[in-house]
Amino acid sequence: MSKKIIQVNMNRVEGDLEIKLEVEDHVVKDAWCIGSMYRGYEKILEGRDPNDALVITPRICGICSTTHLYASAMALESAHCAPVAPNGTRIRNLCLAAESVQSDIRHTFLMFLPDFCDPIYRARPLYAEIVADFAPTFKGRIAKEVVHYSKKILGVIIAFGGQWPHSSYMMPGGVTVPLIRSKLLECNHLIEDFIGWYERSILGCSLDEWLSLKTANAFDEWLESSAAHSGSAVGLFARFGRSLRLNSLGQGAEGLLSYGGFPDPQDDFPSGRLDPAGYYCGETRQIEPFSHEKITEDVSHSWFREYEGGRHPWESHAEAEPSTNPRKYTYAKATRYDGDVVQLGPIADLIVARDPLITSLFEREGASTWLRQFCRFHRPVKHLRLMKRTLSELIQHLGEPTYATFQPRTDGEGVGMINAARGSLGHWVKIKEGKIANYQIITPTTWNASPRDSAERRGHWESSLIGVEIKNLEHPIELSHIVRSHDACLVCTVHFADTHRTYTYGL
Amino acid sequence: MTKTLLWLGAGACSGETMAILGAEGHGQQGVTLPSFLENNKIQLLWHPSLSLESPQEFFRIVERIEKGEQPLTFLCVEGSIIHGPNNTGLMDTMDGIPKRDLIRRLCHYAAAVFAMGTCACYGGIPAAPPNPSESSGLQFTLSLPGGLLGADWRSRAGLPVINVSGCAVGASTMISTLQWILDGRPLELDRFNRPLSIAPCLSDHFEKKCQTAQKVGYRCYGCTLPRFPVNTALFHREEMPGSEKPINPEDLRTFINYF
Repeated sequence: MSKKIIQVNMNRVEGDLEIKLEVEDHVVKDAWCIGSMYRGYEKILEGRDPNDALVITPRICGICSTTHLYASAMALESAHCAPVAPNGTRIRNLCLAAESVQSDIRHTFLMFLPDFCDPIYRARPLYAEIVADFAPTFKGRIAKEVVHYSKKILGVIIAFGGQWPHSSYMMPGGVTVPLIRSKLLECNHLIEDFIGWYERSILGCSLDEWLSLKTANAFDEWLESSAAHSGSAVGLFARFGRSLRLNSLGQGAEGLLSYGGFPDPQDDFPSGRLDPAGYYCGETRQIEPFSHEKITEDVSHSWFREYEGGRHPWESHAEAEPSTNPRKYTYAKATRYDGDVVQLGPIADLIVARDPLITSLFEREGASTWLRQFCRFHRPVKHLRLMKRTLSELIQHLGEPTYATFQPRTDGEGVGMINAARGSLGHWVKIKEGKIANYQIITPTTWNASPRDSAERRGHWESSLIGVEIKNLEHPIELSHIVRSHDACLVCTVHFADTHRTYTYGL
Repeated sequence: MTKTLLWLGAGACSGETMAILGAEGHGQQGVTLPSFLENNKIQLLWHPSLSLESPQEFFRIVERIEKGEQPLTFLCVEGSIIHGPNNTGLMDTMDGIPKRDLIRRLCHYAAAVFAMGTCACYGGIPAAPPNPSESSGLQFTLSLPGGLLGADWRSRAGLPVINVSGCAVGASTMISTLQWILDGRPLELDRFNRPLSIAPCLSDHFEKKCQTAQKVGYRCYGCTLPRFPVNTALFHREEMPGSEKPINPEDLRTFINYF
């Protein structure tokens, strides 16, 4: 019986992430996730003009800046009770989908799959094919193609935003940019080009054929039915990933939360979503309606001035406060929904949206590492379809305005919630006398990387590591797969800081 | 001798990493980090978001650099230099080591150092009041010379930190600057050490805007400025581009034959 505390530092996550594990006889008994950088965006926004959120919040993150821009525009609209022009919503959805597709493929092929190329796997079947396609850095055939095609799909955002990342083309009421036919034709060309590549290289079949697979068994049959399928990028991932037993690891929290994606352009004050919001409760296995009032943040294990229980973001004025209390180990707060520990991300978004293929796979093997990454192959197909549909709607509504005017309020409370590539993102704003009085951001990574709460329950990532067997403690490749499948965005987790203590817990 | 490139992120959002992977659009065809490395046969020693090697292996690379076993040609830094809390640097660390100390050590060995993006140049958004992380740039704090390294610091090739500012700065601007230095061409820097030869908007008081904002309907908010984000309301919807002012030649300095 030997207990060890090991520390694993990870790269190929956005930002830096350090994980402390208690390992006994090669099995993970306990885990603590520690972010290591603090910038303090909420403090920077206080006292500023409300529309400054459109400039500053995208800069929280270079990979999902459009999502932050979208959430900030929605939060301001909510505070002003402003309507949104339907064409504004369409352009926003088109750009958000493009960013999501870019993020999913860059994550899968530049961050996650390089671990399949680890020399520790060289004796395994399929290793040669894996390396040929996915070798870092930019060496594998598909890795190179991903650089080229992720550039292309970003062209859709450039057409409306002028640059990516970091543009402020969304504003309360709609978007700043007018609708021009030539832009739409350019976008169509880019999307078609991208779809052609995705079908050829990534899926090995057409988008239509892929979407006809609605059960786990249908997918298994499809995989084996031809070399084009089994040898495609998704085929290689599926087979190699299963051979590593990734479909039985890394499930994490049982609750799945989604704020909903893509506001419905038909609504002037969009409460309808094209991808519905909801909460899948792990206990009841039912999808319940979502209410943001049930979100709380608890600081029992966090370096903030102590308060009782959990608080909603509108009531949050958390003051960072270092402490010698050994119970506290991070600047992250324990974010909880209706008192439950939850996970956010592609599995949550797709289950709540009742995606048939993902639901079937989830029922068979739970929220495994394999399924989580599989979602990132599957989801771009749906987003590409959405982009084509939205484009044709824009062509139909060419003459209509892209923004709505309204009378701004000097005082108000607003919330903007939207699904980002990593899960649901929320911005909460309070405006007083025409200035930002309070601005709180909860990113999906904040939820997933949360520490223990007052009831001592671990956050999602921490619990996803419990029980994992690490064959070689000097080279914990199993952790690499599980943690990278979470697609962490540490640059988004604005509250985090590290104090470099060694923890000894209850020996 | 093989040229090498090391990329580090500090108080960053990864904006420049995302930008340098490329985005299709006006003037951006074919210009990305992978193609630049391949065309010039430059070895990428490490990049936090892209390399297979873990941070532990990265520290071994740092050791070899500091022992003189591994030459370092280009050091690229994105993100602000975080000094907080209380000038300890502990709000941004890697394996317990303040990122700013790591960066300061590596700057000593680099032939040339590039601050990629406004945050690395001047502090950028994290340095906006009240600057909760005590951020600065590599060689400036907002418009004041100094930053992490001090105004008099020069790289092994005799260059100050080259401030490739912008938020995010575009791939072609970053790659063009790297290529310019690699080719040994004379580079003109303005008084904030921005490479004027490369792009029109890298100039004092943004006399020549890149026009990106105007083309999509909002006013330029000066993302290349040392004081970005400035202390006034930033967002204004607008449809007409602004007028241009000429650059003052006295604001230029030239570096020749540094390679």
